[in-house]
Amino acid sequence: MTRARHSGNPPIFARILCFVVPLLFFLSVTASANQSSEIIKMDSLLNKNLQELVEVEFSLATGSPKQLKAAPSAATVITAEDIERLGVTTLDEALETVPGLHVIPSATNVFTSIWSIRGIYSQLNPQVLLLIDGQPMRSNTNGNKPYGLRIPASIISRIEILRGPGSAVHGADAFAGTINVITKSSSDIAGTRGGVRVGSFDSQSYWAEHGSSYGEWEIAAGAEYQKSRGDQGRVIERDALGSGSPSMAPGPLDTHYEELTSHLSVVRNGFASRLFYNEVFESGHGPGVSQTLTGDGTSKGRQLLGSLSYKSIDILPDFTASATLSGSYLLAKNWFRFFPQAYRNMVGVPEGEDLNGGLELTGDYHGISHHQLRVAGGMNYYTTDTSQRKNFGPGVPEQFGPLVDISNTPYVYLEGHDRTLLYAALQDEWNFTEGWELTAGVRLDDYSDFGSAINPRLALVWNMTPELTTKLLYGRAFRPPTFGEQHFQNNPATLGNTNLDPETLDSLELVFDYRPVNTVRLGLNVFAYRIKGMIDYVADPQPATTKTAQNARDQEGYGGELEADWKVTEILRLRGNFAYQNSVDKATDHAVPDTPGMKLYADVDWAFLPRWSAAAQYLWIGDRHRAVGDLRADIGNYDLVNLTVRRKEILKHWDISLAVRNLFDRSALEPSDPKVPGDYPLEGRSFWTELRFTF
Amino acid sequence: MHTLRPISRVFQRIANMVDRFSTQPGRFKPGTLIFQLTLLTCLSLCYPLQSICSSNQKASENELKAVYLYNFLQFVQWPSPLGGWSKGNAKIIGVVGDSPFGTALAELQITVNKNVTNPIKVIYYGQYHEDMNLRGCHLLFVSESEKQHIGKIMSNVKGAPVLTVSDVDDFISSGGMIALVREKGKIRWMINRGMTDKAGLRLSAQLLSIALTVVDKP
Repeated sequence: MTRARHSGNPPIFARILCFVVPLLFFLSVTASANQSSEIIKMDSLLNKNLQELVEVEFSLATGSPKQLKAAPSAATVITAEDIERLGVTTLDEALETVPGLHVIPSATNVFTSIWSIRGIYSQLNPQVLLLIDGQPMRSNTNGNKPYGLRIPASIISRIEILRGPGSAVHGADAFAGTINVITKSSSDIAGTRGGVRVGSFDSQSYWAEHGSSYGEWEIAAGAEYQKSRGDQGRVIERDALGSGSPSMAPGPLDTHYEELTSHLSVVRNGFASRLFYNEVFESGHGPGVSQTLTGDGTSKGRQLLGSLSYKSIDILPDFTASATLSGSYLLAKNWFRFFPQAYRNMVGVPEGEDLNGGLELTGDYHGISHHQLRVAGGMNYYTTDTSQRKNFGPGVPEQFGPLVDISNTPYVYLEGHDRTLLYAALQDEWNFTEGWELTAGVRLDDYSDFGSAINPRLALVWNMTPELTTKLLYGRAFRPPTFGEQHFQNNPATLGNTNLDPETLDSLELVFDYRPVNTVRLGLNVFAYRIKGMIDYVADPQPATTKTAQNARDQEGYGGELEADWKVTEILRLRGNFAYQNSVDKATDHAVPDTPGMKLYADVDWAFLPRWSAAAQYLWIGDRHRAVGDLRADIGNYDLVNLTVRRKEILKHWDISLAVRNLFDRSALEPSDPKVPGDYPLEGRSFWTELRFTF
Repeated sequence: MHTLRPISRVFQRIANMVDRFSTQPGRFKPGTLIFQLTLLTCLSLCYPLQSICSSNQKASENELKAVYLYNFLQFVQWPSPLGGWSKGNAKIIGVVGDSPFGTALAELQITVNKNVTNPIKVIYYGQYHEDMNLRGCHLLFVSESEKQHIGKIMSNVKGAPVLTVSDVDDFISSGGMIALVREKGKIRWMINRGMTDKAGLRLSAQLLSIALTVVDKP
């Protein structure tokens, strides 16, 4: 019986392989023939006149890694071309390709995604600074990026990721790393484009963008709307209430979302104004705020960032100055349902509204031979206002009854707060002898509420040979306590502490960048760091059930990353990286839980026929440990394969892409709160297709 | 309608054949050798068709950009005495910073210089430093690696008849003359006429008319 089933119905992947093997053979034969016949040679290019030249398309270039070579840090740049060729649809997907960075769903209340870099990881991970066009995007309450924020890839021109401390340049929170998302400029878009993407889980996206010059005005604008029901196959067997009534487990994690993101930039004669807007209409709470499936917990948010900057070249001889005025408004609205309604009608509706403003002045002076000096100074003002409705706890007459507005009462979870920051920074790039450059910088931050912090950095860059660059980097970073960590009150779980100090990090790093030939880049980074006074919520003495923020623990870690990028031919490119880290919580002397000790990533991009290209991605996550006291076996490793095939100009002006994510439908698990013992499953196999048009 | 009948009959027969094959176990199932060979043959037959149909030609981005630099030399008039070719002198392309061209400029030089009437020369200045004199070339290409120093480089050649070209973002607003930009998979350029006028360079009407945009920033 079994045998008959085997021969009659081979497993789907055996069948796919039978298609794929001859196809690959055929393609490899034709692609090599194709390469010589389709790439125009220099001779014939020179014979074309200007009008003919502008009609010639170029093939994918290696991006612009050159400038990275000299950057005084361990940096990765992801360009719009990388994004397009890999079929990346969101910022999170792009970041998963970065060595030493892993995207994890937060095991805390709202299941928002967080970015763990080099083993530095906490539940909302405010240790990573997200910038949009250089402006911080973070909540004043928790220091995290907004809940449910999914930045669509369509608006991104490039992403600059700095691993390691960046406080000497960016100030607070550039701790484990800094991620700067640069939105598309008018020349990036140069025309009008749009696209429609539909796929598994009822997911759909619509985007459009326009960029061009009107006289002296350069204007770029883009927007994307995204919506999905979420994978209903991400089932957890048990939750905090167990399995079966009154629990809703087994049941799927709630990962539905609906979101709109847009950007606008207007540039004219040294002036640039930028606007970024994101609205989270809905973002599901995964396993639920109290690790209990409830069916209706969601977060909503509205993010608005704006800036106006002016850059003047040669205001004085050898001096360039710029000024940036910035403002941001962040609104977070949560509907927290703690248990299934039938079990206990316990609801909290906290809202936080942040309003921030700042002014920064920067000057670059290059009047001293072999030196490039930069001075910067500025001030920022941060405010948070809160409101809250809930039907439980102090200030509520009827427990689990109707919602009561406790805004502006002593019972609210967090009162309104504000703080002012003044800062000054100085940096010198000193090219002291042929091939050697020393970058030294320091930044002083002075906060109105907790005091000041000084963060230096030193980078010694040595171009040993034209092929090999070596960098030795030292840096310090800090993360100030957030309003929440200082002032949370009346919370069922977490309380603030006004005596907190900032957590600090010192890091030392050695970087090798080797480009033996123009088409190959090899990189090796080794690093070690020490964090002092990491802020965490620590359980209060019995019989209290609350946790209070403390400078609870120190952490130490070391590790390395190996990167390779090989443009084999004009039509074939291979990339990969492997990252290892070993981080130890000094309070327990145990490995930092949940974050991967090892990560392997590789991709291949192959323009196998004219106008066709295919990309495959491979990701392996391994070596994850449990927290001390969590008696579950260590979480298993997983690997995922993604495929994307693109065809340009399937019709005039129309391109099409097809993608499979988690091709082999692997069961991939990310660490859960122990109340959900079976860990959080990631998405199963999914498909999407995208049609895009260009005018 | 009658004329369509034979055609539909042919399709019917093909359909029947496929049906017969696929209902016979083990004969023409995906995964069998015969299936793979058939697939391979069909695809191989499709290939020449595909390459005939395709008129889409591509060039390496580096080479395309290098050829543009050469074209700019032809469509721009330098004030004498830098004049150039008429006197049989080579026109000079300077590259400041890490050259993004790979071997493309060397190849350009070899190919162009076979024709001795319009020779070119390429100077690689390397990474920018204060003591550099960048005024000794006709066309200066500013590499991405020198993005931080664009202001200084522009001051360095200020007033000299040097055509500045780059593919760095915001090159025009930083005081550059010609910015190479990617547009829909092709390379185009933007011109800042204010700067070229100031330097005494005369741009041909063709160069201006095909440009993506022409601005006039002082």
